[in-house]
Amino acid sequence: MTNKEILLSALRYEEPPRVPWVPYVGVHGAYLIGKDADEYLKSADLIYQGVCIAKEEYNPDGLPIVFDLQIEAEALGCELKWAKDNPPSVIGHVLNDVPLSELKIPTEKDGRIPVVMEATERLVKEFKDEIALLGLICGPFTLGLHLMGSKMISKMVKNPDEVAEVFEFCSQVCKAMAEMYLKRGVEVIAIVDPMTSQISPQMFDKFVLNSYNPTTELVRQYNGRSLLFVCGDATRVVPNLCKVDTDGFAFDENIDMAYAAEEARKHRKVFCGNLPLTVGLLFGEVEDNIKFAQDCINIGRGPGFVLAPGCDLPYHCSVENMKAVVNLVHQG
Amino acid sequence: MKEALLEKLSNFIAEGDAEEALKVVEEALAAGIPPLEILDKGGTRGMDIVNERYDNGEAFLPELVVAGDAMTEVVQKIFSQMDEAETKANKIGTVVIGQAEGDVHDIGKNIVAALLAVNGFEVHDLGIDVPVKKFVEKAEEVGANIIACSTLLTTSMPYLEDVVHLLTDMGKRDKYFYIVGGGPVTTGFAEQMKADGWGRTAFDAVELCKRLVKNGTPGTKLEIVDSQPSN
Repeated sequence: MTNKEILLSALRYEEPPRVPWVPYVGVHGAYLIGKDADEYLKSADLIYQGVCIAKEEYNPDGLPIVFDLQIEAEALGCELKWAKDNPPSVIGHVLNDVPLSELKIPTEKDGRIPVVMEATERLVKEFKDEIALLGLICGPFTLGLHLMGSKMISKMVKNPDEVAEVFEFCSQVCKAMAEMYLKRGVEVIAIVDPMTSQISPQMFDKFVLNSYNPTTELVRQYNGRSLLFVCGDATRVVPNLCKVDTDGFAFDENIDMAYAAEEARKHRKVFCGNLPLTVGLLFGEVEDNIKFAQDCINIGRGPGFVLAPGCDLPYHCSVENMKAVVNLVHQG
Repeated sequence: MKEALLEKLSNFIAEGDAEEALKVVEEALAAGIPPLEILDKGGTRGMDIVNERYDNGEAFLPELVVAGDAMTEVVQKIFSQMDEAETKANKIGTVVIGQAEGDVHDIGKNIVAALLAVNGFEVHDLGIDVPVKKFVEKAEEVGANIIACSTLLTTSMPYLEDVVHLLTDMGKRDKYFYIVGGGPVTTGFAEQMKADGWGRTAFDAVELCKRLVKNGTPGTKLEIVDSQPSN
């Protein structure tokens, strides 16, 4: 089996011959090629170089093309603050100035989407069937927060209809972004919705659960696979994550792997995680990371498991620590 | 009647219903209940209810935010009924708070700031992406007891440590309690940088500040408040 087949096998809820491994290289790709994050995320050429180096260094089964949850928001008119060692952050929320009715679903010509799609085309051509590429899109909840700002949180209680309307729009943005990746040959779509860890199971079902459906249905039409990424302590919504119409979900070290694995397997869902980023890959020692990875593998081993970091790798993530995980995956 | 009114107030605050909570405050004031008693036995009790629900996994970020908003309005209303001396007497301490340099993710920090304010602290919120020097300058300007710095980004964590270094270099480390928090900020990191306090949740941060101003000595040991230690 090629690396890509190993990952796709797990995403079909099978048990491949070895544990699949997907390092979420985002701005860490910039670090690998000696560039700043802001320059990297604006250049198809640098993204291409960063992903190619990540493939050589970390022998992955799959890699994200870009890990930047602000691409859609920027294309919709939100103001960004750029950083040298992080993805940009949204500082201007477009719905403070413009009504929802005036927002248009982004096209391939808006914001940095052309840059990302150029990188996608080059990477799909370069990697062919060697490794899987993941098209990451900003989830409706997180995009809603970008568009509305933190007032969205209180409006979920005070004015739920307004929030639902925004989510409906965001859900269509997700679908449009997914289609741009899928028609270029990307086979795995990851909907990244980190902030869903902050709401109750009831609110998850009410606002979020069905907002992924337009995207997941589209992914199936293309014979692709889909995942939902969450961050933070989403323990209480794990049963909800199992109800989402994606093939599975990815989570960080704030969720107990054994619990997530048990719940996922009850529903035959793929689960990806959960190497600790801060205490492990960023600040930990090699031995710590070998232990963390071994623990994850021991618990997760079996159908539908993918070894992955908890979230986007930090810019300065230790290459030595990453390589220790790579060795464990490939040499046992 | 008094107990019934105060219970009604605490329930409206816990539900985040500012409009109804303010009506009850009016009623309570008209009934001659002292403002501070309304605040303590009605308002604060309401926030305690939300805190309990949060700890038990029955309330989440949205419920916390709307309850905090309701309580803020109640506090403003009650303080408007008190003279300056009463307001000062109710003040527990002064906190300068902000999001570390390079970080604009402020939802958590905003909740901590709001909860501190409704719990009797004078809060000076410096906002997002705050340069290290600004924390100390503001603390000096307003005569703060506590400097609170938070980040969600691993890349902003070194700036948390820089605040301690600056305080030490200026010979002011024993003048301010320095507390830290945020997603990637562990107790180990707080200990390593010699912070005075670390709290897991926004409510923990309030308890932490109360403990420090009551019994602490800046620059001596790390106080940890963790209401969910299994996480």
